[in-house]
Amino acid sequence: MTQDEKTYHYIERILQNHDIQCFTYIVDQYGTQLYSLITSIVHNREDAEELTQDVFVKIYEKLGSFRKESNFSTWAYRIAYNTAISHTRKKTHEYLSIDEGLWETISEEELSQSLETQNRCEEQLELLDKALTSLSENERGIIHLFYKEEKSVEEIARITDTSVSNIKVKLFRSRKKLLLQMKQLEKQNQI
Amino acid sequence: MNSIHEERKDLLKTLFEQRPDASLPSGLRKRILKEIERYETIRQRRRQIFEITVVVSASLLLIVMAGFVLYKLDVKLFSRELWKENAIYLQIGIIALLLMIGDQFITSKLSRHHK
Repeated sequence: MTQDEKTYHYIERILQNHDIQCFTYIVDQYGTQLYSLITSIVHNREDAEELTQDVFVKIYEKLGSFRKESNFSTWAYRIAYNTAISHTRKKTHEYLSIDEGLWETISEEELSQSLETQNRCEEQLELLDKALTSLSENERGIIHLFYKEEKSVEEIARITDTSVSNIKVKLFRSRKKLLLQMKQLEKQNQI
Repeated sequence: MNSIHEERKDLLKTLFEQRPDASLPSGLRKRILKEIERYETIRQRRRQIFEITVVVSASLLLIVMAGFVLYKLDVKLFSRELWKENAIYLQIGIIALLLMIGDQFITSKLSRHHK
């Protein structure tokens, strides 16, 4: 039995018997992934925990409307993404500005190469963590889905309810923004 | 731009691979299941209240309609003849009522036992 088949089997049991024990399988199977996505969007542990709880209640509540034709994980990710994004909309954030001149003149390859050669892995990870805060919640979510969860552009488009071309543009911009921010932070550290 | 989306083996990919995963906090799983249980209890209670409300409303509607018909037909409700003639309906009504109460009792007992 594949993971999807197992999930569908448990969903049917939940819908027929309201068997809460079957829901533990879904929490165990998707809990970490959804929590990880929410954490990357809201950037706050307490909020992420609360939102993950809300997301699972929503999933349980909406199980009846889930159609087998669509992938369960995409459906669950979509609920998690929307919940996290609407939570962040309530809060106002300030994002770090990026030098417009640098944006136009430096290519991604140049940025990657200079960052790769000049820093150790731990330093790069630290720079990445800091640079991620410069992205909007939406961009962080897309970057997380693409790089961490290794979702395809089409899947991300389904999760975020946007077009594939829009996701491609957003990915390109977020990626460049991230690398530029890392470069700027690196310069600041050197000074 | 396309190369970015097709080829993920780049600096960011390497860094994201090395980035530690945000694992589900130990207490969170328990909290989620507790919350689901609470939600299910509330949903069941709501459904029960809805069912009882429907039965009571339907019964009240029938009583009102019966009263209206009796009033229109000018039937004396407390006359002996009327009760004698309609004793069978009264018995059916009482049996139906007892069955309904019994059903409610057994359902609540069974659901409590199931939990």
